[in-house]
Amino acid sequence: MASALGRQRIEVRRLSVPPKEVRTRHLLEVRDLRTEFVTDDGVIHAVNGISFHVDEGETLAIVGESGSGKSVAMLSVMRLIPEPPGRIVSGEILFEGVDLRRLDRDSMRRLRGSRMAMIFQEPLSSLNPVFTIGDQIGEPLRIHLRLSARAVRERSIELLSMVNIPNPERILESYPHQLSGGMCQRVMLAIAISCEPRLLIADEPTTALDITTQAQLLELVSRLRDELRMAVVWITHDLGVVAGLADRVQVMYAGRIVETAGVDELYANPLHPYTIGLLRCIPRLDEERIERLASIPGTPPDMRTLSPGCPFAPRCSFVLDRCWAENPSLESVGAAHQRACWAPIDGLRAVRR
Amino acid sequence: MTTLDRDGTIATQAARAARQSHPLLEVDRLSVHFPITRGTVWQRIVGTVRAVDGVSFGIAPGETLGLVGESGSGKTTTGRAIVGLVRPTGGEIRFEGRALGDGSGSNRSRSRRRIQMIFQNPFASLNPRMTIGNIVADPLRVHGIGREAERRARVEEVLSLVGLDAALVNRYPHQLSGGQRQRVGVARALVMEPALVICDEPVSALDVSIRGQILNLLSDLQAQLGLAYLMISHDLAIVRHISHRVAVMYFGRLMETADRDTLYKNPRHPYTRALLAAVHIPDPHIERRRRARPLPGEVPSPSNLPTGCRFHTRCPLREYLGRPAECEQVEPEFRDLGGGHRVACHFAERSGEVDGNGLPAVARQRRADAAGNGASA
Repeated sequence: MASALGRQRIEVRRLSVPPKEVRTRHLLEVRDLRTEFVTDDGVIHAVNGISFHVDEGETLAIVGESGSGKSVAMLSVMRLIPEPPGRIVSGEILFEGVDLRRLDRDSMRRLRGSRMAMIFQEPLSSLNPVFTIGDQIGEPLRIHLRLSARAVRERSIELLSMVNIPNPERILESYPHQLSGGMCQRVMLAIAISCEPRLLIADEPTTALDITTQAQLLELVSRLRDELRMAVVWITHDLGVVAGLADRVQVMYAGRIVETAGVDELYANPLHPYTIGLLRCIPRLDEERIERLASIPGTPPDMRTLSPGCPFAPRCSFVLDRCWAENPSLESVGAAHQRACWAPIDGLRAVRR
Repeated sequence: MTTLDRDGTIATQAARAARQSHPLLEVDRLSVHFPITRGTVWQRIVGTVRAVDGVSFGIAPGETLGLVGESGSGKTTTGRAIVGLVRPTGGEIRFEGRALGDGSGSNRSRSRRRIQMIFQNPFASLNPRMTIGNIVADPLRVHGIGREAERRARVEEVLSLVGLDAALVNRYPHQLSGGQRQRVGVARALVMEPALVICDEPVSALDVSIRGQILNLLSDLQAQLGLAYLMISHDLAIVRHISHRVAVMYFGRLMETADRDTLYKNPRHPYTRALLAAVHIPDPHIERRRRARPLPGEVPSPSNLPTGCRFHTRCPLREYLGRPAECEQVEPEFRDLGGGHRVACHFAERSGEVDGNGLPAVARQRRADAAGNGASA
């Protein structure tokens, strides 16, 4: 007990002295985050030491396959990892200068839904089936903003109109099952923006939707982002979806960031074989049809037993001897462009489309 | 490419001789209507959802027909009607020249073996308590085919056909990745040696990075076994990849059908054009330039469809033409523009004029790129 307290105190002292300008510059800054899950079959190392930041009003896309740790990373930021079996092993999560790992449950609860909000993949399972839409939109308004019943109703109607829901008065009385998937996702978005958060985290919110509804939701999010000047973190496995939305893109593999760059740079000049692979996998309507669609061979690694080398090596077509022995760290390869790869840049450039 | 005559009346005496040239599957004015009921004990019918409302198409042996539409368009219900999971309320489905709905049970089960289905979600469509071996062998057991040892050999054969290690037979679905699970779904469909496989969004639940593996596997199997596919999807980019012909569906009706190259190079129905415009292109410059909202307006209620053309409430062409009365009053005929390119729109010839809301910059960019590619190739 005493030793645990002592360790905590040391940690507190270390955390309380980051340089001042860093604390004010970024809206969200994550340093060396590690998150694990303890299961009967072993410890799953879901996030393995990632550092990144999001600025005010900026849109960051986090891209990777399932199991890459992209969702776990952002759930850790929101402190929504169930503990146990999960645990945040190390790292700092500075949001508006405050380390979220040191906040107690109540302070965290005050933050979630008001300063930072999240929308998820399955809109129908995120909404409570036994409450009306009005009840669910009203909740953050009552709890965080302490609005009166009448003000809650007015604001709810206003929010539903903001997300392009026709007939908001009627929708307030509806239950989730009476709405389509696209409508539910817009309701989720209305709840998320109800307190005008500074950060909106969107975890593949369009994956379960039709392509036309998906396009509408993307439009809507980019409009709201500009109107409310909020930052957005968009999690996806599809580089096609975020091309028009993101300012920066961060590609994750096996719980690490393998490449990050500004959006134009990343699509025009990808320098990690995994990013190149992800871009190649998307069938492009603006190009001639090709006979065989590209894919990345193999499957993502077992996150319980990660080898010392680069986790992408078994699937990589540029693999070198060194890749099996040493895991490359993220290094600068251009203006605001970093990658974690041993393969020579010229070789990668030569084979790109 | 095989095109079929629309009436598709097969002279029974020539049926056997004509089988090669005749389509494998003919769907003739198929409708599937679901009643909407009120009350728990004394149920009253208060309305009808016309999920499929008079749809006709054919699939030749070895051919892939892409069936495209949004959710609620009836594309999945069409597929389920063909497999026999829902009962049609009208029209006819003929398979290998024989009507599916009638005949004795044994006749039905014979055709059922030859039509199999692959489902969208490989996490939900495999029984978590059954081993992979049992999942794949189950159809054989249900139809009473072979002895245990023969079944086991057949399962191993099919697993290797879909690129899975035979050692997986004793594993459970949760021990496999999404791509492997979908391969199991393919193996389960193939174990019956079908002639037609209904693929209901076979890759939409999978990561972009492994979709290619499954789609290429499906093409390889088609080449190897001469399978025909009905490829149901909402993603026109994927359908283009794997289909020979494409049919576009909206609220129970076909809006447009053509061979692949015609449909993608010269789409005539405003709905097809809107679906094409909604496909993302992994290029920030192109994506930022397109700011047009792909389809305005809410999807209509399936129990209360718009009059006239059912797309008129969302149609950018109708807006552009100053809302002509026909669109609201007259249901457009599914007419032939030549060469089997059929479209259900009064003003299909003018759909290219829409620029603001249809398929704008993206299409022009695409055309320019295609021209550029052609010159350089």
